Amino acid sequence: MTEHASSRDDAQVSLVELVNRVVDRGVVLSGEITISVADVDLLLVGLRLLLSSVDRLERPAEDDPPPRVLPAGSEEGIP
Amino acid sequence: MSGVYPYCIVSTGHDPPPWLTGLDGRTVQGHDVGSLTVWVSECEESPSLDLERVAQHHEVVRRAAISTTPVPVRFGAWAPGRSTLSRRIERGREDLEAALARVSGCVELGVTGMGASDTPAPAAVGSPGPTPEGPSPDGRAYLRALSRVYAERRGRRERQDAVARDLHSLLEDVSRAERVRYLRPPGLVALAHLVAREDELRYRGLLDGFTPTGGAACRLHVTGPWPPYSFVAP
Repeated sequence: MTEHASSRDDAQVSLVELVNRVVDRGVVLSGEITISVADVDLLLVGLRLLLSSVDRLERPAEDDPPPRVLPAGSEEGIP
Repeated sequence: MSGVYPYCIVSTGHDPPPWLTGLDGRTVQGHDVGSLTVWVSECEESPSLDLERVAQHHEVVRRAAISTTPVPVRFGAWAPGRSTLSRRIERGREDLEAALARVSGCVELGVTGMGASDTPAPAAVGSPGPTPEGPSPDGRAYLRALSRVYAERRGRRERQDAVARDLHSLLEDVSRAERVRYLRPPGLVALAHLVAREDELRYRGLLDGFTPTGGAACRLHVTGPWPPYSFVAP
């Protein structure tokens, strides 16, 4: 069966898909290959930082407030 | 002399709006090279990679895709000056024009299949494998555990193949090109399709009724429309 994806899952998948496309797809103009070869370490460090940023985004922050349970029928509003 | 950072390439005549900004708030300008216009920002040095800049880069390409079909440039391209950029474009002009023609009038749509949340993740590829829980002088427990791990991997690969095949069959008529990626758990597969702009709703409609062969649990995430990132490079 096919399940419906939650909006949080959708946001995570969209972020991963965005990074995958922008960083790993698209045309590579000639000349960049030289830069990539010369700066292999820098590129790798950059990717690691980026991936750890994605990982951080996917986890709730430690200081996030705990989720609140609202009474049925109520809506979250400005206090 | 200032360096330039390119975002995407379009047919001449599609200049960026004057108010558009890109990396770190820099103005985006059109740089003409023959029949092509490159959307660029003045940029003193090659930008470092971070999520904010990835989003800024994408926003410029997305903006270009509103009025025409761009050929996106991969993040991180930078040239020390406009003349160097022009030379690089000239060198690859035939390929770039062919890419523009290939994706013209199309958008990219993505569909990612995720395993069910209650499906246990198999051991990661490349992991050291099972560890016997207790002494096993004849090694039979170890071999049984090893056999289970390999069976799980085989089962997972078969599930991935099945979902990819099903999605391919379902979307074949509405797609001009397809790229498939196999994902690590809990992901299964991610497919990208090149779809005519007017067929986007049809594509989404087909996925609404998707049921994998054998009824295996699978959550689908549809993303896009994207500029055709996945279909402009070999």
